[in-house]
Amino acid sequence: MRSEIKTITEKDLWTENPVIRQILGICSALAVTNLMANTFIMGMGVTFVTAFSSMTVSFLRHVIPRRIRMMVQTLIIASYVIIVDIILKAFLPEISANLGPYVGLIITNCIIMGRCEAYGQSNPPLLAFWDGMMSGLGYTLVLMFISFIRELMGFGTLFGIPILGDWWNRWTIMVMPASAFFVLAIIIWIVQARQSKRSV
Amino acid sequence: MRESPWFNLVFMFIITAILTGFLSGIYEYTKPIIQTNEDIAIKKAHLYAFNIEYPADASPGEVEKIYHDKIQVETTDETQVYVAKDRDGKPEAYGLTFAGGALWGEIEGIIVLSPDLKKVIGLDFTEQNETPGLGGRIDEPEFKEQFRGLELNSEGAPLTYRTTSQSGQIDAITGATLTSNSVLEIINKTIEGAKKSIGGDEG
Repeated sequence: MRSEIKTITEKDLWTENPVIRQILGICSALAVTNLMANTFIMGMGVTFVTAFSSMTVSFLRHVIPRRIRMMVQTLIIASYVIIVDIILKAFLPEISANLGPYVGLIITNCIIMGRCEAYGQSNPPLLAFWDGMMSGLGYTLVLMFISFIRELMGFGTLFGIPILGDWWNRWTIMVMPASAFFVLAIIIWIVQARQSKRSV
Repeated sequence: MRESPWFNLVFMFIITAILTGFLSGIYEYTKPIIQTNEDIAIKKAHLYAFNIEYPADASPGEVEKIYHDKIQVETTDETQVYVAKDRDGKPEAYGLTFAGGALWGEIEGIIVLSPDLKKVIGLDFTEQNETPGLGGRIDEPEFKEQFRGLELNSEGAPLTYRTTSQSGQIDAITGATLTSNSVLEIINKTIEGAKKSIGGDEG
């Protein structure tokens, strides 16, 4: 059990990171990474949904008929996403307004269904929960890194706090979704280069 | 048994019922909180447009009270007009809500005019989905403060942008021409409408 937890953590955060290695969840990686505060809440939302969906699927793994398992998974995922949406609207209305439709779009994040399919449905609930949480955190880490670069260069701020003074000429491109393509691609390039060097 | 279509159907029904019931519970529980949040956000925007100060850390109850004391809603035939009155009951400002399509989606807000409809007192947005950092900057004070105390043109469009070839009153947002233009178009239309509905019967 303990070694399993360690393997999961290592895989989800680094060697099989959902964004960098599996290239999943790219849509939101482009859309919500221009402000760190928004990115953080989005990451927490995805982590919450992935962990609980995977755990729920795991609890029901002996009952869910194989043929309709994807329908059931989508239903479970959608329920948790709606919970996140409602909680944000009720308790963090400003962030909810900033994220707009992207909270609802967590449903379409492939990482979540990917973990339910690949892990949740064939492993015990607690491990499934841990795996979901680590995948979510692996996703959050990469997105936070992208948003760090984008917010700093695009707005001159971090978490809304001015870091670079007036001398900094804001890079408009960093605010646009297109810049996330460049930043993400460069990150993937560097990480893949490092990882492949080690494996040779 | 687990692979029979009937089992699938029944299973799907049961799990849908459980999850929907669960969600309805949470929804019902948070409904009043969400409604208050939305309501307060709109009231704060209106207070800002009317240039009525309120403490930055005002609780929802306090915002509600300030709003109630200062602003009344008058419904005319076609539109709702928000009115701030002085102690003698003479109108000090008229607020008109507006809505219209911009680059990505619907923009909603309020524009407040002086009683003679010749000056803008303020403007705020209650709903906008423009590109953050570009068109979304219409919601930043830098843009909105430009409208404070602005004299309207008596001829042509009430408000125009300042460009190299044209002397206007306000600066558009660089890199967000479409959003800027839509916003001005919606506002000008609202002002023209106000002149007809309010200006007509109260001189």
